[in-house]
Amino acid sequence: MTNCYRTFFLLSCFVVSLTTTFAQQTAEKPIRGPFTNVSFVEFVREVENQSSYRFFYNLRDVDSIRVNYQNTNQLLPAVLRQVLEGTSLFYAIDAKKQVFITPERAIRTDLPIGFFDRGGSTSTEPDTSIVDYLAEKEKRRITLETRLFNIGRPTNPIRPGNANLAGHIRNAASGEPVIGVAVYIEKPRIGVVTDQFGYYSITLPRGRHELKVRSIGMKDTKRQVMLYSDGKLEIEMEDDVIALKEVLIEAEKDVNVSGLQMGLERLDIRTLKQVPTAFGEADLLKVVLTLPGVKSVGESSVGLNVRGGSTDQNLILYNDATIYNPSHLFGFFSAFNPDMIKSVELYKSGIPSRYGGRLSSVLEVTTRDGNKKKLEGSGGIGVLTGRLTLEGPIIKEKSSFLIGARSTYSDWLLKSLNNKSFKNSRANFYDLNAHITHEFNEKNTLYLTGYYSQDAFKLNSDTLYDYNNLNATLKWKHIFNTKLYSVFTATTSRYGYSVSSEENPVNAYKLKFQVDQSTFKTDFNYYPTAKHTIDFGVSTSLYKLHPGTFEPLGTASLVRPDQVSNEKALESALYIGDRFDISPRFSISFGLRYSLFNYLGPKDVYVYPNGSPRTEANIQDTLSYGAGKNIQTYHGPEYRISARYAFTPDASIKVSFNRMRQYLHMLSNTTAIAPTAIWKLSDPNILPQIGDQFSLGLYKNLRNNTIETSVEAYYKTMENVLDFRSGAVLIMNHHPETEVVRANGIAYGVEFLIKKLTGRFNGWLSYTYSRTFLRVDRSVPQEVINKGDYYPSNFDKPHDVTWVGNYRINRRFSISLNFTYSTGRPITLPLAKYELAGSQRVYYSERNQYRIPDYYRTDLSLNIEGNHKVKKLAHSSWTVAAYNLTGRRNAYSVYFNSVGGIVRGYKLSIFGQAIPTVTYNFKF
Amino acid sequence: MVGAGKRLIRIVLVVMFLAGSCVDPYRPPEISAPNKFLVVDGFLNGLGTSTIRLSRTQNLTESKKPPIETRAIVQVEDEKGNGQTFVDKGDGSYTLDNGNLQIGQNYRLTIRTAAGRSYRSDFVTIKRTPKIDEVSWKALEDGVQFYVSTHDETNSTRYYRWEFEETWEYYSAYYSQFKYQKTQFLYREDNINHCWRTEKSSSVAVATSNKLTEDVISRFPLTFVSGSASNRLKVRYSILVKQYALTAEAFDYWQNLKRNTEMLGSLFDPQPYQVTGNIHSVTDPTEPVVGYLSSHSMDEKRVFIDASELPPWRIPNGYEACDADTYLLMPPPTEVSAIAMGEAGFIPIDAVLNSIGNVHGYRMASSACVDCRVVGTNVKPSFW
Repeated sequence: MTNCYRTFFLLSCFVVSLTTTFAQQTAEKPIRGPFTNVSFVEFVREVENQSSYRFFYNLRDVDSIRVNYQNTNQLLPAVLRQVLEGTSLFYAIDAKKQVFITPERAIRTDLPIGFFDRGGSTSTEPDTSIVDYLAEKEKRRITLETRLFNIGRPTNPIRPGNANLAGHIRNAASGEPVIGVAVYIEKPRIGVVTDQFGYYSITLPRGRHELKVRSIGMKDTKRQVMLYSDGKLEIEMEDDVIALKEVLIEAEKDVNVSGLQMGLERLDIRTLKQVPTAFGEADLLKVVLTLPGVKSVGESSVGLNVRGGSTDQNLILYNDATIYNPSHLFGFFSAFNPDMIKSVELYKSGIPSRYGGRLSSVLEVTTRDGNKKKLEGSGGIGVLTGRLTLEGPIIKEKSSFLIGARSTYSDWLLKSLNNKSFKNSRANFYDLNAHITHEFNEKNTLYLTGYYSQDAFKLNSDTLYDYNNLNATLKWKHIFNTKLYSVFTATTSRYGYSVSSEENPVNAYKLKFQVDQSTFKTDFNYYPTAKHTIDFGVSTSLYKLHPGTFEPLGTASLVRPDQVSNEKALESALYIGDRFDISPRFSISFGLRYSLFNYLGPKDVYVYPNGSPRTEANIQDTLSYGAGKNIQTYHGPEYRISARYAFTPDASIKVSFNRMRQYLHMLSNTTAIAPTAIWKLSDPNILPQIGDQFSLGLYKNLRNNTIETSVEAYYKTMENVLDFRSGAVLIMNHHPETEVVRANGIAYGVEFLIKKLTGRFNGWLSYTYSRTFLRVDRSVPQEVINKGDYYPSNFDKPHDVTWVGNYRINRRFSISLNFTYSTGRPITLPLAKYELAGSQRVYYSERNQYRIPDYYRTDLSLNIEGNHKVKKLAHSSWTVAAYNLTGRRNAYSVYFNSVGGIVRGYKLSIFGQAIPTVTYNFKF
Repeated sequence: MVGAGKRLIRIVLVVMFLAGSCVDPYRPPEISAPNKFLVVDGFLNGLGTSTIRLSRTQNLTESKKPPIETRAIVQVEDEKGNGQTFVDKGDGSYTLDNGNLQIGQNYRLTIRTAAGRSYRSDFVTIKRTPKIDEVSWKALEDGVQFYVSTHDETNSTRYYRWEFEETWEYYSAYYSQFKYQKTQFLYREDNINHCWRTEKSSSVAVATSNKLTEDVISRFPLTFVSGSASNRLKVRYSILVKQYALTAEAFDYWQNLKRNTEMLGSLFDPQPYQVTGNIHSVTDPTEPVVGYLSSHSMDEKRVFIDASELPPWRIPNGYEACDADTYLLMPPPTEVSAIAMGEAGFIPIDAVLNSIGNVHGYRMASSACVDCRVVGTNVKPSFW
């Protein structure tokens, strides 16, 4: 009943306003000329000065028009007719003397005949809608939502069949593309999600549709379209800011049910910023760690273990360039500046065929594009870091830049860490980002990203460690037509570290490691029909590794220069994937990736006899290969298959299988990733890792899709993964194959997730049960670990409960509470003690047979937005947080040392108490 | 935030940051090993007495000394099978005084326990240990760092291990003139105020020059002696450094033993593991044996530091908690008599006279405060 009343009320308003406008009509004055080669804007200004006409137009439509008009004293319609002659623009003048300049066709300024008289004769398709260009944003939004957009060349009657609609979804305030936006119609149920460029392409039956556009963190919108033939529709969305007037977010954000993808976690920067972190700054990887199926070995580590995979099995992409070390300061910070990031996507299963090269997951970090409309800055000051970001247009509406810098203030984290071995230490880091987007025209866009991060630290002694990441990406997106577009990407990644010591001039040295990767790839997206979405492409990467150089430092040094010979390889892949929507309920995605790996010379390769342990003493032969010579080729198909069946619009089941191949391995036998971990290419002695994963998921949305629930189970096998011999020495090792053992792994688990991402109260609760085991190859008895039985890997933490919750108290205050519990990680504990070399010492059990105490942590943060005055210097916010609120001393490790001849057990906790932080964020 | 249009952001940063990583004592879950594995500690000395100690592993929670292995037959055997038997000292140690072992030759150790189980080491080559060039020291902020330097002109040693013995002179809190003996207070003839204490190194020290162009060990930091943690540097201190040449395998063993039992607790630890040595069970090849048999000659060097050579540190005498009290021979009934205290083990320091000059009591303190022999010896070492 209420709806009826509202309709009536609205209509009566229109009647009133129309009546008044008609009453205001007066005699028109002629326009004085002449205009000689002036811009349209100047012309408009002059006309507006002379008369009471107000012009409404899009600057973009008129910027090429020069007005040459010599006649004088004509009425405006005649003037305009002449001025717009030869252009594609039309004009319309309404009763309020408002002039609308529009491309393609003139808008109608009066209601269609029979508007109030909707009887049986009216079709379900009104051919136009009311246009009311009122300045206020909200009104404009509503107008856009109710206005009918005609797509393609109009035909009458509408031809049967399908047509394609494509375009970009952009942020109305900044002009930046919005990714992961669901664009769909409800009857029949057809939907797509925008890609990383904010691009969507949807094939719909020709005719009238209400196109719904929804995304997390943005205000929902919709468009009325009349689809005649293939065409474009650019859509702008508004930020779902904390508005003074509460906006009710109705949500049908049902991508998890309706989308085919499973095992995908998407986080936007808004979510990232809500989660409290140890040092106050939003930290991408720390939030990723709260997701089901993602674990790490310890508090300070950003090494991700996704569904039982090791930390080197994650492909971390920053605007398509591989990041080899995503951590700052031993992992206390992640290497991503939160102000640069637009979104993060983590693929845990059902990995699309366009990705490859790592076994466990793909973490794709995308930066924002920068504001195309106005210059903006933002920044933050936290207890340990400060950051500043600037963005703005280079050419308005066409190109934009985004630059950011972040750094620590000082070394005083280490001084505050009340740990003796940190006292005489120092540590600092910074990172720099730059991103430029340029839109040449509607069909061609260029993206350029640069990234540099640098860390330097000294641990207690005089040994100086430093490492850096240097990445660059150049991307060209070309739209052939609404159904086909392509992206050409060239990236380069460099990661290197050095360790040096000068304390003793005789032993002074410098150790260096570096990996270089250059990748070129071409990706095509093709939307042939409503039922198929095809992507295909090729990629090739050239790896150059400098596994280690060891050099004397200073003239007094007796250090013998040493170099582990360089490695080179080419990894190429060809892929194709097709998403086939068989029916609205059932869809399948087939993908195939074929990867090819060539290990290239120059290199000396050691040969070991079969069946005997690979030790230095057992080297049977050395084969020398010349430069560019193909030493070893590995290749194989990678299958990516997934299927979805929807029982109801809000419940579905999905299955997927994927195979991954990995040719690049990290050599590190420390539990947390050490800053001296080295990367190694597959070679004749180190086989590529192959991983298969089956997963099955059930998805159900509740309460009108505001609550998402899901259960995902997986079973994974991993072949040829690396584990390390006890006491392995990996640095400066000329034959690292003698230190690694080949292991096979299995991992399985179930992940339960309840998520509510909208409303005053939002967050998620997840529970994961997962196990992961390794078993070394038993064919060589000397290499066997734990008698050749399966043993839990370092990051096998069966139970994990995470709660992330936010509550918006009012428009200025919001509160976040996080809770996380997990089983302690496996460790090797002593079984006995004995006396040797003047001291008691411990006798160890088999590998990973015990566990450290369980982990439990609660974090709380309060976010205070600045005042909401329209005119103020900067928009600011404060974040007050307490990390590890209960002050629990969670074990990072448990260990035994002989001190003064006696064995003592210790528990090391990284955070021994609650850590309060205050961060100031600003935007201007 | 008021700036009259000026783009100036005044930031007030309230920092209440105090991270505190911490290390707490940890008691592991009750783990008891079913086995008591044999532990072999010692080396074949190319130029002198070889000593081998045999003991057993024990459960972590046990507080007793580890069980020793006596009545075993310990033999050294050359490649031709000629054996010499070690002498069983009865305390778990077995010695071979003049084995006439040849440097450069290969030997192995065989052990047959009283229970009839046999163990055997791999063959090891006796390496010649080069001379210690220098044992130097440097006074740091609150203690003394010792360094050892050595080299081998033939570039054939490359791997080194050191052990050391510290000896220091000290005085107990009180000089005792009397001794208590069977209800009597007698004049004391010996000096139990002035002592020397000796301790052996308990941590593994190894170094290698294999990454250098020459076989040189330059100022290897051997040990740090704190000026505030003990009375070592209070009067006079001496360190005897013993140097051993190792093979690459022996070096790996000691280095890994150190890493796994002394150096854990960093952010980037590898998983600890049981280091296996070169001694195996013949009876049951799967039975673990702890220890590594090295073989080498030995070189040693002693240095002294007198307190006068050190910066003016506040070095504790080790008796800061001591207190002496007067006990009367004939006390009022509410007090304890000097004899009762003597019976309880208190040691008389000096006599207390009454107003007419007769001894009517003694100043006394616990033996730990008076008798320096509780932790050392009052016999001056021969090298002092």
